[in-house]
Amino acid sequence: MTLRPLPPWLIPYWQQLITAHQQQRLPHALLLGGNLGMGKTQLAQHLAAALLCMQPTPTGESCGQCQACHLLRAGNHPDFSQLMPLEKSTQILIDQVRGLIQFCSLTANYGRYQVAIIEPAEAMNVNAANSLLKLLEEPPDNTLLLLISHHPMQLLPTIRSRCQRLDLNRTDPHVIHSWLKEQLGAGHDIELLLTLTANAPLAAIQLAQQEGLNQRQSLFSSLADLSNGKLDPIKTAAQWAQHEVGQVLYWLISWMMDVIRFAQTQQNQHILNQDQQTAIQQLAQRLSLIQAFEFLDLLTEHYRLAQGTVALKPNSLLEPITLAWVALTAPMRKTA
Amino acid sequence: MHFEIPRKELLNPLKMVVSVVEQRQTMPILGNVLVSVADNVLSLTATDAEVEISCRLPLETRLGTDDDGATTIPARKFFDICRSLSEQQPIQITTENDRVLIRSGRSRFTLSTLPAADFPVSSENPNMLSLNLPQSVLRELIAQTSFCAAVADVRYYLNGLLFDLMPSKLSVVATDGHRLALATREYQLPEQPLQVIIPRKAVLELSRTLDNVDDEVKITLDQTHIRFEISDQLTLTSKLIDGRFPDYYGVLPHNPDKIVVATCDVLKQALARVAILSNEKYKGVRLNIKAGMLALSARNPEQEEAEEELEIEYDGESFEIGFNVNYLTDALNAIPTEKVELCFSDPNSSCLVKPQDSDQQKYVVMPMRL
Repeated sequence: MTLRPLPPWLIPYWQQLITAHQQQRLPHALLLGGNLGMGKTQLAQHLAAALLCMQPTPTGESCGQCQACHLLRAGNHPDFSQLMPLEKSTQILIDQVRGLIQFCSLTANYGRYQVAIIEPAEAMNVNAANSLLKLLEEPPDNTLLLLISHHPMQLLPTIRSRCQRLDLNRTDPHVIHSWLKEQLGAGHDIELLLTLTANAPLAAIQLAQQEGLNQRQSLFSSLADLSNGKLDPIKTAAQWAQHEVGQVLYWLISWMMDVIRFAQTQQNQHILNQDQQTAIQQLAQRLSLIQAFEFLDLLTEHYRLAQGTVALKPNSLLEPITLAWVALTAPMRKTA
Repeated sequence: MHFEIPRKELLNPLKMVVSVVEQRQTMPILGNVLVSVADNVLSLTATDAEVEISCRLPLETRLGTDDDGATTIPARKFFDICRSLSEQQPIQITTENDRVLIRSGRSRFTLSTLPAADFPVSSENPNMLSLNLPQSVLRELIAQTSFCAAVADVRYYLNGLLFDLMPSKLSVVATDGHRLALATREYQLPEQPLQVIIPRKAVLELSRTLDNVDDEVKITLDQTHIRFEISDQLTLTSKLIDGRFPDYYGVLPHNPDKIVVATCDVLKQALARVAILSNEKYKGVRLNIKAGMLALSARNPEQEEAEEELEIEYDGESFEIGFNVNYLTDALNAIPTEKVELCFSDPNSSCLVKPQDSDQQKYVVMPMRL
């Protein structure tokens, strides 16, 4: 694992954690919560490196020179363990947790801390999560479990209550804004990027640098073409299926929510997809609220299926949606 | 790095070192063996992040310091290659950038390597407690206790052997919650008393490498590691279990008043016969003890019955008690003397099994309700 310098909005959290460590007030288990792209992993890695380092700097950071830092970079530190879903799986399994318990029951190789990162913690299935409880309840000395979660409320309440929580979502918007400006340079609508990623700067950068925005644009324009009858719903679904299904559904949900918000308030300020105002306004006038909510329900149900543990074909998830969309907008076409 | 070594000198140490490498590792480098040459000595080290075994082999061929160096080689492949090479030809090993070249006679193998600096070797602590024990004694202590240790128990501190270093004696203790084994030797410990729990895996590796000879094993330990220097060449280092072992002294029955003396072999054989018809799951055997006579009986769910009587030395009041027969047999198997003492206080509390006239071994077995 390679450590990148901590971005500015994480510094206050870092100070809080490292001060706690220097005053020996660090808990046995930390639950780092926050939206995807807030930098939870980076914070956890910095903390792990600092705890394992043999000659930490006076400010508490890892030196980057000692044997421990070298082994950690090479991914071979014997007192560091990382639990994540194995390849081809979306879950963290009970055997992995048992391995972690075995790891924690032995003494540390270098006599310092033992650190484990569980990421994302909500990927633990029920059995795995339950077997972790015992460890969280009776932790060995000098052990830190770092649970990273994008959705802390999806964790078992028994796990949440056994960890000290640190919520990374409360960050200073100005700091994030100026950092993004610096990273991306001119030519990006930073407000829009942050609104779309729920203020998660790392996710915003990814969205700006990859095809995300174009995908979203073409998704929305194909919605319009579907209702005009220019596109075939089955072919469109196949085309959408080439992108990540969860993301496609997420865009659609945010779009539909905007329609409902506008229909109820008639105010532009509540719209997330600010760049799509006109299309959303038109739709809000044409659709009845009941229709809009029904379509939103369909979307969220498929979103849940896509995020679930059952492997489904992307096409079969998206076809009902394009078909329903056509059925919903076809009457409008006749009257128009 | 470059060295040359006869096959027969390399093969056995390499086999011992490679045995600790697991088939599947979390870190790729743990599948490799660390090979280093310095001062005309070849060291081989392998670890599974729990137990580390290393060997030091003197190199006869005179080498310059230019040939010193270290690298890590895939352990399994390295061993398989060396094993299949011809007996007569010496093995030459040379590193070339990030590859290693193995040559012997007309065979050539090129293997990939990982940097030696990335290999997680155990740390050295200069302030370690140290003691010396003959190999045969250490081997005996382990053999007399290790069978009682728990296997993959959630009470992780039971999955190993307790070495309890007291000022005048050394005790080795194992328990799985149903039975307990305690082996003690008189020993003058020069330093502070200390209790450490050695994980099961290290105990298994250790008992494989120990021989029944009087050569001394140097044991050094601190709060996190224990190291056995078994001979000049072989060193085994293990992490410890980070937990507190239960108070075993409190478990030993104190002042048992009913003392039964039996002939070990006769009792063992009788138990083995009766056990055939005991319940396959619970293995219960009933002991009916009268003056001068022990009646063993067992019954299975099909209501088939086995009974056997044997003579014992006992003159107290008669009573009845049940045991898991495997626990009794395991304890009796570990007792070398001809006569064995079974000490009871009452039918509901544990039984102490020990060799007659010796306090070096003690086994505590919990009774079962039949």
